[in-house]
Amino acid sequence: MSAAARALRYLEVVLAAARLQITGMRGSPFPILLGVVQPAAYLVITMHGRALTPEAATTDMLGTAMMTLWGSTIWSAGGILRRERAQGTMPQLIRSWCDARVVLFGKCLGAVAVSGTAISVTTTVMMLALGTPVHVDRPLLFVALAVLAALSTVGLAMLLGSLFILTRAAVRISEALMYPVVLAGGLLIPLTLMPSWLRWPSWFISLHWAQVLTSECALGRSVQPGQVAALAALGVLYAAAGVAVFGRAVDLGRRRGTLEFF
Amino acid sequence: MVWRARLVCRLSLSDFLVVYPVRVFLSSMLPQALMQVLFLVLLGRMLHLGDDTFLMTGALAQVMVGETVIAVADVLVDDKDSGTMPSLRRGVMPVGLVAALRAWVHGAHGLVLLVCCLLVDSLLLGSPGLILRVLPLLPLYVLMALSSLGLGLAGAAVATGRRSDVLVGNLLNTVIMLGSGVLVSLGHPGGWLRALTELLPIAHGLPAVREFIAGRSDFRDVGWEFVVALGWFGVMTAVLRVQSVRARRTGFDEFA
Repeated sequence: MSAAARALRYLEVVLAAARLQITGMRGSPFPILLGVVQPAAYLVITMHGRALTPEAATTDMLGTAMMTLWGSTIWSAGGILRRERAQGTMPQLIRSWCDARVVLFGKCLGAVAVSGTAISVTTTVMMLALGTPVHVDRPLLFVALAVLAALSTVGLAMLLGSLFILTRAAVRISEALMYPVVLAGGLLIPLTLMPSWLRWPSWFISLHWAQVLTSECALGRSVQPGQVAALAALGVLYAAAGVAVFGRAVDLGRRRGTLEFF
Repeated sequence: MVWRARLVCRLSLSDFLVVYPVRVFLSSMLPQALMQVLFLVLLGRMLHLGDDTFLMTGALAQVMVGETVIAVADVLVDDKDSGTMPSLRRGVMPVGLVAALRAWVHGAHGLVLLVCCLLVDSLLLGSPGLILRVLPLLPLYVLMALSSLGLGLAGAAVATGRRSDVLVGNLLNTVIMLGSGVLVSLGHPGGWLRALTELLPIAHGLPAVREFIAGRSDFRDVGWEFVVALGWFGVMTAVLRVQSVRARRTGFDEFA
């Protein structure tokens, strides 16, 4: 099989996995809660009774979107491999002709696509409903940066999903991680409100760069190439770490005979 | 009857400690609650929604509600999962009473989280004086725990049969966050939206806490919070009763 034909088959697998994930999420309450209810609630809180300038409203709106994207990632995408294990499909996934990591990428892509779309639509509808003016300068660049942010989040989802099959305490870890990342990443609350010694962890949080970049772009400020590189590099790093952790988890599962154990 | 009630309470504690042992509490639940309060207070500070007393009292109530409205659904979900509801209905104690008694552990857990958050987050936020101002008002939070348990159980009674307990619990939690004055109050005084929020748990207890801290006695709101608590427990009992009667008459059991 030629390299092009192989790449095409892998692409088909990615798309099929994404489609399967999107279909599977229809019956779950999490896309509604995390993609619709939560962004709507936090937008009501942040916009309630305030006469905001378009700039401030845009920053708060994007902060809310990034915060809820993080929540969706940790709760929806983070559990993808755990669900494979719970449903007993993990061994088949690993024995398949196609590398399981390709399937994982496709499923994470599907999950982030659902969350991202739901959050974007909810945010737009809510801002219209609340009558708060939003300022989006350079819309094409803004969309490109938003897509880059979503792709970077796919890498994050791969890492979380792989980490969460190493432990039975995944749900607990999800709970414990939710707010520290929101606070440390300055996603909704500016880092200037944090002590200076607590600001450096944000460098390692891709959604922090996503929030900074989309805000700067929307407000017409210069977009720093270094920040774009940081967002892309963190996404790649997360994905690489996810692939490595997944390999380790599969290896451990094979040796201990626990691949099917939930 | 007292012996049976004590047994139900003891068993619910045992059940809770099996699912959530102390190490889970310390490693996951407590850090999450601490960070949630920190987040809500910092968010309130950023948005200038009120002073630290206002924000902390609201954030503490919200943390408690996470347990008393969302997690309390386990009380009924476990019966659906285990298929034990028919046995429960044949028991001596009414199902509603069993559910209410079992729920005490979630209320207590919410209050433990609340006290821990008060002690730690007040120091972290540089407002240690809040500890002494809020702690004496713990009985009011107990009342709010009761009223929110009533709503949580009523929601779970409706939702568990349709496997939508997670959705309904979280929706109710969000409604309380938006409608009960945790950080903001929706609607205008005298308007229909504000009138609806009066039916929510915490909507009266939280203003009472804030009034007492400000040195003004507000027993009227305390009374209303008590009425709301009774009302939601009544709704829960009625829903479970209707479900029992329907299961007997038609054979359609939502908990089967």
